[in-house]
Amino acid sequence: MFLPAFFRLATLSVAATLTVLGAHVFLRLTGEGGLTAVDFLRTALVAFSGFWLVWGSSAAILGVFRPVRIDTGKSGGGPQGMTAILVPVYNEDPIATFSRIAAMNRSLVDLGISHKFHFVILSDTQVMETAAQEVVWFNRLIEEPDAIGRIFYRRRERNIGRKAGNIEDFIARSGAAYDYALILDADSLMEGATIAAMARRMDGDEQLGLLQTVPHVIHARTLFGRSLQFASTYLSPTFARGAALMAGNEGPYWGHNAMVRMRAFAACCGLPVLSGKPPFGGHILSHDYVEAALLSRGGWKVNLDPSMTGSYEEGPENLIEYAKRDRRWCQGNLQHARLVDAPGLKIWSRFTFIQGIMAYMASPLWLLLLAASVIAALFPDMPTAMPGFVNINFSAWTLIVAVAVVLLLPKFAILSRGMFDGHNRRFGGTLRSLASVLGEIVVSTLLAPTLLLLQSRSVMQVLLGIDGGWPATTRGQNWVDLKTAFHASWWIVAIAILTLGGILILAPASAVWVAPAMVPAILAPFLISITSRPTSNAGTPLLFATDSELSRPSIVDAQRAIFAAWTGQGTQDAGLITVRTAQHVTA
Amino acid sequence: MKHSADFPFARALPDAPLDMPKQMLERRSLLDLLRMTLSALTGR
Repeated sequence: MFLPAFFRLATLSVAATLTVLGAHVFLRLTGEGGLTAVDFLRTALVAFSGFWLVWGSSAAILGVFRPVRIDTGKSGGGPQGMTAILVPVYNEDPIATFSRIAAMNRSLVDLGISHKFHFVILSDTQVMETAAQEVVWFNRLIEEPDAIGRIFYRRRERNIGRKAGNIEDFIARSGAAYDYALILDADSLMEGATIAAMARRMDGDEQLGLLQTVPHVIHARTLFGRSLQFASTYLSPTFARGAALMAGNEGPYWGHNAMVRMRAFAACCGLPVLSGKPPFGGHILSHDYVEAALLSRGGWKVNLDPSMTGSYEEGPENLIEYAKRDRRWCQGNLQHARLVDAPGLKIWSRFTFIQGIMAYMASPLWLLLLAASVIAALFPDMPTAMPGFVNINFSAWTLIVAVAVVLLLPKFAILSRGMFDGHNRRFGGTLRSLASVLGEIVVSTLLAPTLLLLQSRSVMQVLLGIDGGWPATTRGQNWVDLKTAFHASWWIVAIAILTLGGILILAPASAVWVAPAMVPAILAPFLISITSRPTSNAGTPLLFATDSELSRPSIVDAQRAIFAAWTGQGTQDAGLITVRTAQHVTA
Repeated sequence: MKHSADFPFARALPDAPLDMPKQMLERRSLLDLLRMTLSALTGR
């Protein structure tokens, strides 16, 4: 417990010191000749938003200096406990989902440990045609080796409590038959060896309540998706290593690709329905963070282990799908404001809630800072509240460069370390990694203003009490045509044109500060559309190549082969499959 | 939550219920506590 406390304190000290320094520099710059009320507001916003920027970067730097340990899970025997591998689905493509289950099952069968693992498909599917298809493809799935008596399917007619309610329903009915549950998403894919290693870790540490892996994104095909995929595989493990150092035994749970101890989870994680109406009341949306906090409250260890390889997921392929998911997460994280003072929680759990809330509140705060700066530029003769500073011997660029360093330093530190520890080699060498890091910086910088406005809108909607619901994830939707992109982002273009146009007319000298944010926002429809274009199918593209593309994991190959075989057979031998109607789907 | 009889599936999920008690996440107000105490005393 000493080490996490030390790292938390050290990171907090660094973040606080740099924030105070940054705020002081900003105040000196804006306060030349006299400080107005708007200057104080802007400084407060810079300090508040800047702190979270520095905090995130400090965590990553911490991860750069932590030794890397790779655990492929290949050593060690079979686990002792029984594990239920839970696959909650909600209007997903059953062929893709079930082919992943088939691949994971074959991987466990090959290791000779399949008798210790059951798969349970927990369907909350509400579209009846999809539900009927699930039964059709379940018939195919149970033709897999050792499937009978080990692979189960059940569907709820009403998806009460969404994913958390789905899992709770399973535990309430069958939980006592299992020691552990590996909780997956419909797009999760894990090597059998990794699953076995997780179960062995649970066997070996009776206090371990939850073990979270860092899933790597796979199968991305568009520029947007591949940029995200590269960030998740090349950069995220280092950020996670830093976060894990600070979290210690009070780590995060991301809702999937994680194993829980069944009796601990059952005893601690029955989620209540919050009083009041959505978005702040009702069922808890971002249940994973809450479940991690509750396990910690119950005295169980919650560990994040970035060293475990063989854990994969898929990501959104375009900015519109990303924003849809982000809207859901935004509502879920802001709902945690109700839980920050929940009785008995560990301080770190409360801080994690605040961190999650700030991940979304940061966007409207940056926007407010931009708006306040525009006002300051438009009305330079506002009455001063305090005498200002004199002899300012540095320019505004000092602050811009400082922000850029905070944002970019972790990425280049990861690249530098990768030259020595073999990380870059797995991604095609240092030059290729450098090109991808630079590409990721360009893509994320160009899309940042659009995301800032989208997130600000989400926050405003939640604060106004508008419930975003729980739209199903649309996987495999790639290209967004210009018309659709414009339909989704016209208001962003309008805001950007009005802001930049107003500044150019009324305070042209300040346009240089506003243009870097507003020009990409004006181009939002083009950027959304261009980044959603699938990349060439011929080989691995030069940019954003990942280790799993350059040396494809066996589980990914297996899943692709099963998917191809099933879809090929499905069209050729369709007559062999009994197409059942929805009445065969038990609820 | 068993599969229907004609479902081509050898064994249904185990009947092994595990209690999952609802957790307290919201702090109760003084009024709530008073109301609960009175309910307990009056047996209602």
